[in-house]
Amino acid sequence: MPIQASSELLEGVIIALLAEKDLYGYVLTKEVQSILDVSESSVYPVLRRLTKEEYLLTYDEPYQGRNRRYYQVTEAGKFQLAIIKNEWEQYKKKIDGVFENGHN
Amino acid sequence: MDIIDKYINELYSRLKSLNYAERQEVCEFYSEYLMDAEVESRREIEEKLGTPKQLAHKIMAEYALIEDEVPTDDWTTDKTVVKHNLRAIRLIVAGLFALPIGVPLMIALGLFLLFYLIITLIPVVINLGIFVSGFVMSFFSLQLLFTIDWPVGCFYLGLGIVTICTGILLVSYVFVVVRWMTRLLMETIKKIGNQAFRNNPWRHKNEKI
Repeated sequence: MPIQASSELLEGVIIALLAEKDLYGYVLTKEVQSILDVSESSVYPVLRRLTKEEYLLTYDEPYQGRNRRYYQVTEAGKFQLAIIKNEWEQYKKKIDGVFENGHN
Repeated sequence: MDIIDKYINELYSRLKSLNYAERQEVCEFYSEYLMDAEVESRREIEEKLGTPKQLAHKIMAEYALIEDEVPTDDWTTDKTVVKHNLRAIRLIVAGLFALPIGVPLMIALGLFLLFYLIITLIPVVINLGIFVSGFVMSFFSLQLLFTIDWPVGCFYLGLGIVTICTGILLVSYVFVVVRWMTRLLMETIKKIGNQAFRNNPWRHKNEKI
């Protein structure tokens, strides 16, 4: 059974993917789904929230007579990613500690 | 193309509570998404995103939670904030119905509502009772003033006036209780909403929405 992703983790994965390369909605959703077990309608709310908090910005590029909206990480977004990474490290350490030694 | 347009139009018409720009943005996102996904049938779309109704509910519930970052310390006097809260609650409730866990949660919500309603109504009813008894006493004692029992009339008139004044004094306290309870109710509903959406807004792929 896949482990359920928390909202922070989903945010972290989205920012991390975008930090590597600007992506548009569909491809980003597919990439997220290859890592986390989330539904297809879960990504937009997070993108909107992250954009509103100015961790991401968007720009449009024409594609076959229509637009594709790309998402790009801002400096604030990179900072936020560092925070999430740090929290994940601590979380991972605790869980690993329990799994390897039984407790603390 | 046609199936996507039809789906997006239905979605658009169900996002009435959002403003024009927000509505436009959501629909552009999903329209682009479905074109990139190269969906070929309505069934395929609904397997991905659910029905337009389910998707709209999910979106609106999310919006209500995000925009909810209005200061809550001093909102009791501000009508727009109360209106905003009511809107948020409406959206969350609408969103809850769209979830598979909707029904048990709705029952819990219903019980909460009932509980708060009772707690809130008790002081209101007591205060009303005080007013009514004060007025009844004053009214009947006025009639006694012009009879041989006028001292009794005086006594009850005084008592009636004191009772009415007590009622007036208590009104502000009743308001405090009602306001406090309403606030508690709103926060509880928001918490339920948060539980259902923010901590776990993305459900397992196989679960419908």
